[in-house]
Amino acid sequence: MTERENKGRAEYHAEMLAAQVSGLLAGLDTGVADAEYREELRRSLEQLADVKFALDESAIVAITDRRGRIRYVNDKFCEISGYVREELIGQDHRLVNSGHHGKAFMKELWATISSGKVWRGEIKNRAKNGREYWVDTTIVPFVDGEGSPYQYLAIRHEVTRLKETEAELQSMLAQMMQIQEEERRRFSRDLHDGIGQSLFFFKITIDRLLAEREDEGLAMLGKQVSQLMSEVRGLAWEMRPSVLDDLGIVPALRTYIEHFESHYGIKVRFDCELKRRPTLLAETTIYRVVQEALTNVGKYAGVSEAYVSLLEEDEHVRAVIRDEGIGFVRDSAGTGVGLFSMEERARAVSGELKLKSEPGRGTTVSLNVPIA
Amino acid sequence: MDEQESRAAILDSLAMLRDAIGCDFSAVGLKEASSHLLRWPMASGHTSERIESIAEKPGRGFSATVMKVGRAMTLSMNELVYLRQLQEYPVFLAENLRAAYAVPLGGSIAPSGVLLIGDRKKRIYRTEERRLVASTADRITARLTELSSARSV
Repeated sequence: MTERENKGRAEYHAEMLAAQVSGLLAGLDTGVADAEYREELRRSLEQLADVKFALDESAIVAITDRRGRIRYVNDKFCEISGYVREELIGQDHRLVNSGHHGKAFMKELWATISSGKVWRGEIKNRAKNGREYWVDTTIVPFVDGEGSPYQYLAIRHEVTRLKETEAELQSMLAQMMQIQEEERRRFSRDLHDGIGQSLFFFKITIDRLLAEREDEGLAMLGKQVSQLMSEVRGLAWEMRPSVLDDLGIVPALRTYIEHFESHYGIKVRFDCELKRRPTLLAETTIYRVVQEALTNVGKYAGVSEAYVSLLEEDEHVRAVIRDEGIGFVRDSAGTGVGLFSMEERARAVSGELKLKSEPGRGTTVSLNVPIA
Repeated sequence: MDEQESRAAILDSLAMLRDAIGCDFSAVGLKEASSHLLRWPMASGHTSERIESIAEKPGRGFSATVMKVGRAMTLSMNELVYLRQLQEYPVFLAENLRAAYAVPLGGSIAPSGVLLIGDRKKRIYRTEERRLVASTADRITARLTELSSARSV
C-alpha cells in the first residue's frame, strides 16, 4: 500500500462513518457500467447504510485514530457525554475519563487493541456536567495489510443502572449478613441466659426433691432435664458461640474444630500463629468461612484428615482450610451457595477469598482479611 | 457372658444381617449415658476408619428421630440433601451411603441406641427385610441388657 493510498483512507474514515454511502448510491448508474455488478454493489451499499442506522440507533459509537484521537462520534455519544460533536472531534478519550480506572487497566486496554485484538470490558466515564456513567465497551481495531491498527471502532452501551444495582445488591448482602449475625448473637444469648437458666433452676429443684426422698420417676425427669439442658446449650453454641465475642477467634475455632472432629470423625490439624485479636467483624468472617469450608470437607471431600491454619501477614490474617480429598470442578459443584456466601463474606470486610480445587487433588480455601 | 463375648456376638449378628439382606453396611450406635453422645462401637462392612471417632451430639440426627420417637425409619441421601439434614448424619457421609434403614435398640420407650443398615446405592428395603432387621434388633437389645446388668453387678 502506498503512503498516498493510506492517507486517503485515513481521511475517508476521519469523516462520518459510512457517510459517502448515499452519494455513492446516487452515482451508481453513471459510475458503474456492468449492470449485474452495479446491482450487487447497490444492495451491499444499502445494507451498509441499514447496518449503520441500526448501530447508531442502538449503541454509542466512536472512532479514534491510531493515537486515540476521536475522529467520529454518533449522536448517542454526544447525548450521553453532554459534549457537542465539535468539542469531541480531535480530542483524546481522556476528555470523558472519570479517573476511576487505574494506569494498569488502561495499559492493558491499549496493549490489547494495539496488538490488533478486540477489547471488551466495562468503563466508567464522566460527562461534561460531571455525571459519571458506566459503559459496556467493545473496541475493535481496524488493521492494515501488515496487521497493525490504523483506527479503532468503539461500540458502547450504557450500563450505569446495572452497575448501581450491582453495588446496591452487594451492600445489601453485606448488611443482611451482619443483621443475621446480630440476630444469631441475640438468639444465642436468649437461649443460654433465658431457657438455659430456667432449666438449670428446674434441675436444682428436682435434685433437692430427690435429696429428700427417692423417686424413680423424678430421677428419670432429672435425667431428661439434663439432656434438655445440654441440647439448649448446644443450640446456643451452634447459633453463635459467645466465646467468639468474649475470647476471640482462636478459642472459638478450637472449640468448633473439636466438635467438628467428633461429629464427622475427621481429624483436623490446627496451626495458629495469631498474636493479636482482629476486629470482631473480621473474626466473625474468619469463623464463618472456616465453618463453611470445614462443613464442605465433612460433606464432600471423603477424607479422614483436614488442615486449618491462621497466619498473620503484614496487617492481614490469612486463614487456610485444606484437604487432600476428592476435589471438584467449580461449575459442577452443586448450587455453590456455600462458595458464594464465603466470597461475599470476605468481600464485606474488604477481604479476599481464593478457592483451588481439582478432582482427585483436594481443595484449598484461603481467606485474606485486614486485621484492623 | 463377658463384655468381649457380647461384643463378638453382636458383631456376628451384624455380619449375618448384612449377609441375609445383602446390604453394604450395618452398625450399632449407642448413646453414652453421661454425655448423651451417640457413638458407633460396632460396625460391619465399613470402609472408613472415621466411624470409630464419630460422636454425635444429642438432639440431632438419629438421636432426634429414631431414638426420640422410638420407631423405625428409612433414610435416603436425596431426601436428606433436600431437607438440608445430610450433615446431621455423619455416618451417611463417612460411609458414602445412599439408602439406610434404622431401628431403635433397647425398647421403644427409652431407646439406648440404634441398629442401622445401609447401602452405597439407591435401595428400598422390603417388608421381610425390615422384619429381619427388627428381629436382629431384639436379639442385640437382649445382649446389651445382659451387658449393662453384668456391668452394674
